Amino acid sequence: MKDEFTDLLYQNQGIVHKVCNIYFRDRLEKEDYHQELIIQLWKAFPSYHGTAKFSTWMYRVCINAAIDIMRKEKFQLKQVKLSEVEIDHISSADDTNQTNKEKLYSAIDKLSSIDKAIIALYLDEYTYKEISEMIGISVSNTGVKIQRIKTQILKSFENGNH
Amino acid sequence: METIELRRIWNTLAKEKLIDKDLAKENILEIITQKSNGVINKLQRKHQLDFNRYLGVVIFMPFVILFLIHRDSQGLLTHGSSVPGGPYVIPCLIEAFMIYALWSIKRNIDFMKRTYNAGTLKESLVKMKSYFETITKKRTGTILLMAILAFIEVDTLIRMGGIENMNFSLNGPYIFESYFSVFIILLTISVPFIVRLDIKRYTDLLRDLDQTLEDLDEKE
Repeated sequence: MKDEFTDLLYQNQGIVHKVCNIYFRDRLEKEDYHQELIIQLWKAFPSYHGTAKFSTWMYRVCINAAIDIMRKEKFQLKQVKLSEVEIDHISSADDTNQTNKEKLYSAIDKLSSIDKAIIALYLDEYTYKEISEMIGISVSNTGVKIQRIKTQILKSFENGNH
Repeated sequence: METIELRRIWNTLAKEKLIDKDLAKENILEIITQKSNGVINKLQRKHQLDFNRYLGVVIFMPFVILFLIHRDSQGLLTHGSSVPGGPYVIPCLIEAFMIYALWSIKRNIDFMKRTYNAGTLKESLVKMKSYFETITKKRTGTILLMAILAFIEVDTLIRMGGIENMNFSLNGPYIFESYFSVFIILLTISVPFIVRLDIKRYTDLLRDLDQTLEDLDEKE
């Protein structure tokens, strides 16, 4: 089972990076968060029966785990210090030459944890139906939310993230 | 800017890695085998340390009571005239508070261990909410119980003459007892507030969960 999990995770580890980047990009102990997601994936692996694509299952578990970690940290009143990355990120937010990449990061940073998950799945070209199944809401509600988040992001782009 | 452009930027973004490089299969195997360097594990270890510390006090207090019984059998203890249980009441109440503290930490450890990662995001939130609702239901009863215990403890101290005999002069015969009495009073008075703060953290989290679920169901 370990070998099977290791192979599947190795092929799809980009998902762990993506989820870490949208939820924990501004944290100091990045490797710890990365490892925590892998541990949570391993713990949840017995629930994977191969009915869905592994990448879809993995996305769902990673998002659940990331939100769970943030909530537990909040409960423990753990202070999250600004990392160099975030300081760079903030200073670049004031830069008129800010790249689109940085603008998108800033825009995503401002979203709620649920909206972050929805937009990440949408940008990764999951269908409305797949997103609704992962989040647990109706397809129509998913569509409404995506439109709202997109508007929010585009507005953020137009305003230069200020 | 259209979705295609957003997706193009996202794909560039997604190539960025949180850590320097991709993990090799051996590294993945090492992480899942050791299970020791995650964030939650660190928080759990912190709680475990507190738990061991409180457990030490809980184990130590019966020895204090036994020591008092021994001194009492030698006729070396003075009994408060109107206090049932006499000198044993205070250590027994301290033990009760410590057991509560121990239980509270145990509950936090249990929370750290709980994960609902395999279902949909909404299912995970609903399960977490239900767990917190069970815990916070007993909040009023716990605060009341702690307040009653604190009252009994201070009252006992007064009846035993702990207040009357207070004397903080350096050469006074009761200097140690006086400072100890003040410490006990402050400690016992603060306990219900500490309990309230502890419960508030659960209530805040529950409110946060409620808000998230509400946002999830909301349709503009």
